[in-house]
Amino acid sequence: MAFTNEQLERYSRHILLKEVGVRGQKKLLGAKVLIIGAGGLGAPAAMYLAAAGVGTVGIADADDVDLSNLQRQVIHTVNDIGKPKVESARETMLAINPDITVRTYREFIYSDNIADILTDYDFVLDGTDNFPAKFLINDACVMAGKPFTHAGIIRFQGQLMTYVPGQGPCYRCVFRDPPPKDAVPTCRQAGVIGAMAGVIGCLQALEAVKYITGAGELLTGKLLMYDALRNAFHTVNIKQDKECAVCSDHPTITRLVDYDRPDCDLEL
Amino acid sequence: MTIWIAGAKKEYRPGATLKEVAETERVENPVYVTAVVNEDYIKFGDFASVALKEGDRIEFVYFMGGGGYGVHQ
Repeated sequence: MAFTNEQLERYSRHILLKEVGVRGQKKLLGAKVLIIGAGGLGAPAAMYLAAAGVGTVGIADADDVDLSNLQRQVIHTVNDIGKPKVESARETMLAINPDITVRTYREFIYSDNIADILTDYDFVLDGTDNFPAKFLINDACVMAGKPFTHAGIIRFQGQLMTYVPGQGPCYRCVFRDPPPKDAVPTCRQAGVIGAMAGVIGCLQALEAVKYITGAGELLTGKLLMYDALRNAFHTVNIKQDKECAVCSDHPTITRLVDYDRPDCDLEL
Repeated sequence: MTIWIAGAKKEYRPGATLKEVAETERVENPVYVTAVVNEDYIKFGDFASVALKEGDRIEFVYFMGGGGYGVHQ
Protein backbone atom coordinates (compact mmCIF):
# COMPACT_ATOMS: atom_id res chain seq x y z
CA MET A 1 0.00 0.00 0.00
CA ALA A 2 1.50 3.30 -1.10
CA PHE A 3 0.70 6.55 0.64
CA THR A 4 -1.14 9.24 -1.26
CA ASN A 5 0.41 12.71 -1.26
CA GLU A 6 -2.29 13.82 1.15
CA GLN A 7 -1.48 10.99 3.54
CA LEU A 8 2.24 11.79 3.36
CA GLU A 9 1.47 15.36 4.32
CA ARG A 10 -1.11 14.48 6.97
CA TYR A 11 1.09 11.94 8.72
CA SER A 12 4.46 13.62 8.06
CA ARG A 13 5.14 14.31 11.77
CA HIS A 14 4.61 10.64 12.53
CA ILE A 15 6.69 9.46 9.60
CA LEU A 16 9.59 11.61 10.80
CA LEU A 17 9.73 9.68 14.06
CA LYS A 18 12.14 6.78 13.91
CA GLU A 19 9.86 4.79 16.22
CA VAL A 20 6.97 5.17 13.77
CA GLY A 21 8.17 5.97 10.25
CA VAL A 22 6.43 4.76 7.09
CA ARG A 23 6.15 1.27 8.50
CA GLY A 24 4.53 2.35 11.73
CA GLN A 25 2.12 4.64 9.94
CA LYS A 26 1.07 1.77 7.68
CA LYS A 27 0.48 -0.34 10.77
CA LEU A 28 -1.70 2.42 12.23
CA LEU A 29 -3.70 2.67 9.01
CA GLY A 30 -4.25 -1.08 9.09
CA ALA A 31 -5.16 -1.22 12.79
CA LYS A 32 -8.55 -1.59 14.45
CA VAL A 33 -9.08 -0.11 17.90
CA LEU A 34 -12.28 -0.33 19.95
CA ILE A 35 -13.09 2.45 22.42
CA ILE A 36 -15.71 1.52 25.00
CA GLY A 37 -17.30 4.70 26.36
CA ALA A 38 -17.53 7.97 24.41
CA GLY A 39 -17.11 10.09 27.53
CA GLY A 40 -14.28 11.86 29.33
CA LEU A 41 -11.59 9.29 28.57
CA GLY A 42 -12.95 8.08 25.26
CA ALA A 43 -13.32 11.60 23.83
CA PRO A 44 -9.66 12.65 23.67
CA ALA A 45 -8.56 9.09 22.90
CA ALA A 46 -10.95 8.89 19.94
CA MET A 47 -9.84 12.26 18.60
CA TYR A 48 -6.13 11.42 18.79
CA LEU A 49 -6.58 7.94 17.36
CA ALA A 50 -8.58 9.41 14.49
CA ALA A 51 -5.94 12.07 13.94
CA ALA A 52 -3.22 9.42 14.09
CA GLY A 53 -4.84 7.57 11.22
CA VAL A 54 -5.85 4.42 13.06
CA GLY A 55 -7.66 2.82 10.13
CA THR A 56 -10.73 1.57 11.96
CA VAL A 57 -11.96 2.97 15.24
CA GLY A 58 -14.98 1.40 16.91
CA ILE A 59 -16.81 3.37 19.58
CA ALA A 60 -19.47 1.98 21.92
CA ASP A 61 -21.82 3.96 24.16
CA ALA A 62 -25.60 4.07 24.54
CA ASP A 63 -25.84 7.56 26.03
CA ASP A 64 -26.84 10.85 24.49
CA VAL A 65 -24.81 14.04 24.87
CA ASP A 66 -25.79 16.15 27.87
CA LEU A 67 -24.73 19.66 28.86
CA SER A 68 -22.94 18.34 31.97
CA ASN A 69 -20.70 16.22 29.70
CA LEU A 70 -19.12 19.20 27.99
CA GLN A 71 -16.87 20.13 30.93
CA ARG A 72 -14.57 17.26 29.89
CA GLN A 73 -15.94 15.32 26.92
CA VAL A 74 -14.24 17.46 24.32
CA ILE A 75 -15.37 15.44 21.31
CA HIS A 76 -18.92 16.80 21.75
CA THR A 77 -20.16 20.40 21.42
CA VAL A 78 -23.31 22.29 22.39
CA ASN A 79 -24.68 21.51 18.94
CA ASP A 80 -24.55 17.81 19.84
CA ILE A 81 -26.68 17.96 22.98
CA GLY A 82 -29.37 15.31 22.77
CA LYS A 83 -27.54 13.43 20.01
CA PRO A 84 -26.24 9.89 20.56
CA LYS A 85 -22.67 10.19 21.83
CA VAL A 86 -21.38 7.69 19.30
CA GLU A 87 -22.86 9.75 16.43
CA SER A 88 -21.43 12.98 17.78
CA ALA A 89 -18.05 11.27 18.27
CA ARG A 90 -18.13 9.82 14.76
CA GLU A 91 -18.82 13.22 13.21
CA THR A 92 -15.92 14.86 15.06
CA MET A 93 -13.52 12.02 14.26
CA LEU A 94 -14.35 12.12 10.56
CA ALA A 95 -14.13 15.91 10.54
CA ILE A 96 -10.58 15.55 11.89
CA ASN A 97 -9.68 12.71 9.56
CA PRO A 98 -11.97 11.41 6.79
CA ASP A 99 -9.23 8.91 5.94
CA ILE A 100 -10.44 6.49 8.64
CA THR A 101 -13.46 4.27 9.18
CA VAL A 102 -15.54 4.79 12.32
CA ARG A 103 -17.88 2.05 13.49
CA THR A 104 -20.46 2.98 16.07
CA TYR A 105 -22.18 0.75 18.61
CA ARG A 106 -25.04 2.59 20.26
CA GLU A 107 -25.30 0.14 23.11
CA PHE A 108 -23.95 -0.53 26.56
CA ILE A 109 -21.68 -3.52 26.87
CA TYR A 110 -22.94 -6.58 28.66
CA SER A 111 -21.84 -10.16 29.00
CA ASP A 112 -24.00 -11.10 26.03
CA ASN A 113 -22.70 -8.56 23.49
CA ILE A 114 -19.12 -7.66 24.41
CA ALA A 115 -17.46 -10.74 22.93
CA ASP A 116 -19.08 -10.12 19.53
CA ILE A 117 -18.20 -6.43 19.56
CA LEU A 118 -14.53 -6.82 20.43
CA THR A 119 -13.78 -9.85 18.28
CA ASP A 120 -12.73 -7.82 15.23
CA TYR A 121 -10.39 -5.42 17.06
CA ASP A 122 -6.64 -5.46 17.70
CA PHE A 123 -6.70 -3.34 20.84
CA VAL A 124 -9.38 -2.20 23.28
CA LEU A 125 -9.53 1.01 25.26
CA ASP A 126 -11.61 1.06 28.44
CA GLY A 127 -13.14 4.52 28.78
CA THR A 128 -15.95 3.44 31.09
CA ASP A 129 -16.76 5.00 34.44
CA ASN A 130 -18.08 2.07 36.44
CA PHE A 131 -16.57 -1.05 37.95
CA PRO A 132 -19.01 -3.64 36.59
CA ALA A 133 -18.10 -2.47 33.06
CA LYS A 134 -14.38 -2.38 33.89
CA PHE A 135 -14.38 -5.95 35.22
CA LEU A 136 -16.47 -7.10 32.26
CA ILE A 137 -14.04 -5.53 29.78
CA ASN A 138 -11.11 -7.09 31.62
CA ASP A 139 -12.62 -10.56 31.71
CA ALA A 140 -13.82 -10.42 28.10
CA CYS A 141 -10.40 -9.25 26.89
CA VAL A 142 -8.57 -11.91 28.91
CA MET A 143 -10.89 -14.63 27.58
CA ALA A 144 -10.60 -13.39 24.00
CA GLY A 145 -6.84 -12.80 24.23
CA LYS A 146 -7.20 -9.09 23.44
CA PRO A 147 -4.85 -6.42 24.77
CA PHE A 148 -6.53 -3.47 26.42
CA THR A 149 -5.73 -0.39 28.42
CA HIS A 150 -7.57 0.41 31.64
CA ALA A 151 -7.91 3.90 33.04
CA GLY A 152 -9.71 5.53 35.91
CA ILE A 153 -10.05 9.15 36.98
CA ILE A 154 -11.47 10.89 39.99
CA ARG A 155 -11.11 14.41 41.36
CA PHE A 156 -7.48 15.40 40.52
CA GLN A 157 -6.20 11.84 40.18
CA GLY A 158 -5.90 9.27 37.45
CA GLN A 159 -4.54 5.77 36.91
CA LEU A 160 -3.67 3.67 33.89
CA MET A 161 -2.43 0.16 33.06
CA THR A 162 -2.25 -2.00 29.96
CA TYR A 163 -2.96 -5.70 29.74
CA VAL A 164 -1.26 -7.74 27.07
CA PRO A 165 -2.10 -11.46 27.06
CA GLY A 166 0.71 -13.55 28.50
CA GLN A 167 2.88 -10.54 29.27
CA GLY A 168 1.66 -9.27 32.61
CA PRO A 169 -1.16 -8.88 35.08
CA CYS A 170 -4.76 -8.13 34.23
CA TYR A 171 -7.00 -5.60 35.99
CA ARG A 172 -8.42 -8.33 38.19
CA CYS A 173 -4.93 -9.34 39.41
CA VAL A 174 -4.72 -5.93 41.06
CA PHE A 175 -8.34 -5.19 41.95
CA ARG A 176 -9.79 -8.73 42.31
CA ASP A 177 -13.54 -7.99 42.53
CA PRO A 178 -15.76 -4.97 41.97
CA PRO A 179 -16.26 -2.89 45.09
CA PRO A 180 -19.73 -3.03 46.64
CA LYS A 181 -22.31 -1.09 44.65
CA ASP A 182 -22.01 2.65 45.32
CA ALA A 183 -19.14 2.11 47.79
CA VAL A 184 -16.58 3.99 45.73
CA PRO A 185 -17.56 7.43 44.50
CA THR A 186 -17.87 7.90 40.77
CA CYS A 187 -17.13 11.12 38.91
CA ARG A 188 -20.72 12.20 39.24
CA GLN A 189 -20.57 11.90 43.01
CA ALA A 190 -16.99 12.97 43.66
CA GLY A 191 -16.28 15.23 40.71
CA VAL A 192 -13.35 15.21 38.34
CA ILE A 193 -11.28 18.00 36.89
CA GLY A 194 -11.97 18.08 33.16
CA ALA A 195 -8.38 18.12 31.99
CA MET A 196 -7.70 14.92 33.95
CA ALA A 197 -9.86 13.08 31.43
CA GLY A 198 -7.74 14.67 28.70
CA VAL A 199 -4.42 13.67 30.28
CA ILE A 200 -5.39 10.09 31.01
CA GLY A 201 -7.45 9.57 27.84
CA CYS A 202 -4.46 10.77 25.79
CA LEU A 203 -2.20 8.35 27.66
CA GLN A 204 -4.62 5.57 26.69
CA ALA A 205 -4.41 6.67 23.04
CA LEU A 206 -0.62 6.56 23.35
CA GLU A 207 -0.74 3.03 24.73
CA ALA A 208 -2.78 2.00 21.68
CA VAL A 209 -0.37 3.72 19.31
CA LYS A 210 2.66 2.18 21.04
CA TYR A 211 1.06 -1.26 20.94
CA ILE A 212 0.29 -0.97 17.22
CA THR A 213 3.66 0.47 16.18
CA GLY A 214 5.76 -1.46 18.69
CA ALA A 215 7.36 1.79 19.88
CA GLY A 216 8.85 1.78 23.37
CA GLU A 217 7.42 0.02 26.39
CA LEU A 218 3.80 -0.36 27.36
CA LEU A 219 2.34 0.02 30.83
CA THR A 220 2.26 -3.75 31.09
CA GLY A 221 3.21 -4.92 34.56
CA LYS A 222 2.99 -1.30 35.64
CA LEU A 223 0.24 0.87 37.05
CA LEU A 224 0.74 4.56 36.36
CA MET A 225 -0.82 6.94 38.87
CA TYR A 226 -1.07 10.68 38.40
CA ASP A 227 -1.83 13.18 41.14
CA ALA A 228 -2.32 16.58 39.52
CA LEU A 229 -2.39 18.52 42.80
CA ARG A 230 1.06 17.19 43.74
CA ASN A 231 2.43 17.20 40.17
CA ALA A 232 3.32 13.56 40.67
CA PHE A 233 3.44 10.82 38.08
CA HIS A 234 4.21 7.59 39.86
CA THR A 235 4.58 4.07 38.45
CA VAL A 236 4.03 0.94 40.55
CA ASN A 237 5.33 -2.42 39.40
CA ILE A 238 2.55 -5.00 39.41
CA LYS A 239 2.77 -8.68 38.64
CA GLN A 240 0.37 -11.40 37.61
CA ASP A 241 -1.52 -12.91 40.54
CA LYS A 242 -0.94 -16.67 40.32
CA GLU A 243 -4.37 -17.09 41.89
CA CYS A 244 -6.13 -14.59 39.61
CA ALA A 245 -9.71 -15.69 39.05
CA VAL A 246 -9.57 -14.99 35.34
CA CYS A 247 -6.01 -14.82 33.92
CA SER A 248 -4.19 -17.48 35.96
CA ASP A 249 -3.59 -21.02 34.72
CA HIS A 250 -6.56 -22.25 36.73
CA PRO A 251 -9.26 -19.61 36.38
CA THR A 252 -12.41 -19.85 38.46
CA ILE A 253 -14.21 -17.34 36.22
CA THR A 254 -14.73 -18.98 32.87
CA ARG A 255 -17.82 -17.16 31.63
CA LEU A 256 -18.70 -13.48 31.62
CA VAL A 257 -20.89 -12.06 34.35
CA ASP A 258 -22.83 -8.80 34.67
CA TYR A 259 -22.31 -7.25 38.07
CA ASP A 260 -24.91 -4.85 39.42
CA ARG A 261 -24.35 -1.33 38.19
CA PRO A 262 -24.75 1.61 40.52
CA ASP A 263 -28.03 3.50 40.47
CA CYS A 264 -27.63 7.19 39.88
CA ASP A 265 -30.26 9.79 39.24
CA LEU A 266 -27.88 12.25 37.66
CA GLU A 267 -26.70 12.05 34.10
CA LEU A 268 -22.91 11.91 33.96
CA MET B 1 12.83 1.44 60.32
CA THR B 2 12.71 3.15 56.95
CA ILE B 3 10.00 2.19 54.48
CA TRP B 4 8.87 3.75 51.22
CA ILE B 5 5.27 4.79 50.69
CA ALA B 6 4.33 5.88 47.18
CA GLY B 7 8.01 6.54 46.61
CA ALA B 8 8.42 8.74 49.68
CA LYS B 9 10.77 7.79 52.54
CA LYS B 10 8.99 7.30 55.88
CA GLU B 11 10.07 6.23 59.37
CA TYR B 12 8.03 3.65 61.30
CA ARG B 13 8.64 1.46 64.32
CA PRO B 14 10.21 -1.93 63.42
CA GLY B 15 7.48 -4.48 62.71
CA ALA B 16 4.75 -1.89 62.14
CA THR B 17 1.76 -3.50 60.43
CA LEU B 18 0.22 -2.43 57.19
CA LYS B 19 -2.93 -1.53 59.12
CA GLU B 20 -0.99 0.91 61.32
CA VAL B 21 0.63 2.46 58.29
CA ALA B 22 -2.69 2.80 56.46
CA GLU B 23 -4.15 4.55 59.51
CA THR B 24 -1.16 6.82 60.02
CA GLU B 25 -1.08 7.74 56.35
CA ARG B 26 -4.82 8.43 56.50
CA VAL B 27 -5.62 6.16 53.58
CA GLU B 28 -9.13 7.09 52.53
CA ASN B 29 -11.69 4.24 52.59
CA PRO B 30 -9.00 1.56 53.11
CA VAL B 31 -11.61 -1.17 52.71
CA TYR B 32 -11.57 -0.38 48.99
CA VAL B 33 -7.83 -0.15 48.63
CA THR B 34 -5.36 -2.81 47.53
CA ALA B 35 -1.89 -2.49 49.01
CA VAL B 36 1.09 -3.48 46.92
CA VAL B 37 4.04 -4.38 49.14
CA ASN B 38 7.15 -5.13 47.12
CA GLU B 39 4.90 -6.25 44.24
CA ASP B 40 2.73 -8.53 46.41
CA TYR B 41 -0.97 -7.69 46.62
CA ILE B 42 -2.41 -7.41 50.12
CA LYS B 43 -6.18 -7.29 50.64
CA PHE B 44 -7.50 -4.91 53.27
CA GLY B 45 -8.60 -7.89 55.38
CA ASP B 46 -4.95 -8.93 55.73
CA PHE B 47 -3.52 -5.49 56.53
CA ALA B 48 -3.34 -6.20 60.29
CA SER B 49 -1.39 -9.42 59.81
CA VAL B 50 1.31 -7.99 57.57
CA ALA B 51 4.34 -6.81 59.54
CA LEU B 52 6.54 -4.55 57.48
CA LYS B 53 10.31 -4.77 57.21
CA GLU B 54 13.10 -2.29 56.70
CA GLY B 55 13.17 -1.08 53.10
CA ASP B 56 9.68 -2.33 52.17
CA ARG B 57 8.03 -0.44 49.33
CA ILE B 58 4.34 0.15 49.85
CA GLU B 59 1.71 1.51 47.48
CA PHE B 60 -1.95 2.03 48.20
CA VAL B 61 -3.90 1.54 45.00
CA TYR B 62 -7.42 2.92 44.80
CA PHE B 63 -10.38 1.88 42.73
CA MET B 64 -10.93 4.59 40.15
CA GLY B 65 -13.83 4.72 37.73
CA GLY B 66 -14.34 7.84 35.72
CA GLY B 67 -14.76 8.55 32.07
CA GLY B 68 -18.24 9.11 30.80
CA TYR B 69 -20.01 5.85 30.27
CA GLY B 70 -23.62 5.85 31.34
CA VAL B 71 -24.07 3.56 34.28
CA HIS B 72 -27.77 3.21 34.76
CA GLN B 73 -29.94 1.34 32.34
